[in-house]
Amino acid sequence: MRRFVLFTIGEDRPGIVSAISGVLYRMHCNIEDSSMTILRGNFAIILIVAVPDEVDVSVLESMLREEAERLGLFLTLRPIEGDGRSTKYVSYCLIKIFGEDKTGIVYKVSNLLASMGVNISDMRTKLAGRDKKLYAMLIEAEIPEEVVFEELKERLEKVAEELDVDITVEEVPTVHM
Amino acid sequence: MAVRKIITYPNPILRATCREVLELDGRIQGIVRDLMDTMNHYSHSVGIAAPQIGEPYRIICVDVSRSPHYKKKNHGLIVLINPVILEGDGEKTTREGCMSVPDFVGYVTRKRVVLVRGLDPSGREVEIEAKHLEAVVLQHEIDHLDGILFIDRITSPSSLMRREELVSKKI
Repeated sequence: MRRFVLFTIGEDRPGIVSAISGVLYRMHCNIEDSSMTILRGNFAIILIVAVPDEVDVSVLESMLREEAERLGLFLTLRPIEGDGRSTKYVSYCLIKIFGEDKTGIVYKVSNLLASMGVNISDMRTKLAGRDKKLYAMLIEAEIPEEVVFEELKERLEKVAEELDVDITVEEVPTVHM
Repeated sequence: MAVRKIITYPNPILRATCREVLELDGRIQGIVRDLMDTMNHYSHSVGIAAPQIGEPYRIICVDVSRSPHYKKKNHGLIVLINPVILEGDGEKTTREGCMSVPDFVGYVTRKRVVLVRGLDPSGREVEIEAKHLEAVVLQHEIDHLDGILFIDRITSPSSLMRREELVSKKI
């Protein structure tokens, strides 16, 4: 069994998920993790697919391309190896930013996180609003043991102040029952 | 005294409505002991409910003091028979995980404070006002008694963006 990452994007319409997953189903491939969403009228799909050894990948890819062409999608399929996780993170935080849109929000926030070794595990941004463009950003981040949450929060709040946007930073405990 | 096997989803026991305990007999006392032994056996566990060890009775066991990072005031070990939530207030979001649903964690929003009534193992009626994590764990465990799992309480596919935020951002 091999793993592939499948990425596809194109103008949104009903039937995209069905077309792609239909090919995978017929080829006995299993969809593991996935993320699918509309981004400004485009539908984006990222899938981790387990492909059985007996499946010819070139056949699978040509079948996927056929569907992609029919639906006007850009599509890539490439092999991946391992689970790729080694660092241990001890806690999670949710960062929410709302404010008037300006360039650099994503860069300045993510740059701070990177400099502290904080890992982004989920992130979404959305531009909305009518007269004034409002920007919303939601981040779920993993905090390593050596980072003190209060310090992270303070530094993020400072960045938000410089950007003149509202921010809430919340540590979310993980509880196992 | 016995550490029992944890029943995992999709075993139908986890979906059953558990029976009220009518008499605190030897059998029930045995379940209470096994419940504590099983929770104590798993170092990361801060709560367990009887259906998780295959016993469809309304019994839960909670101890948030077992969590090494948790410093807030709490009641330590709580064993409750036939627990009911009398009142709840506020909101708190936690990333929950459950021994019966291994490898999944999800964001769940529950009451921040709860008032719970039940019987202790000696049959005495007790009322406990719990806050923060302890309140969350009590609600999670009491849910088990009605066949509800934390995965039922996740509100959106990403469980990161909550529904009202998604709606308010639509152009």
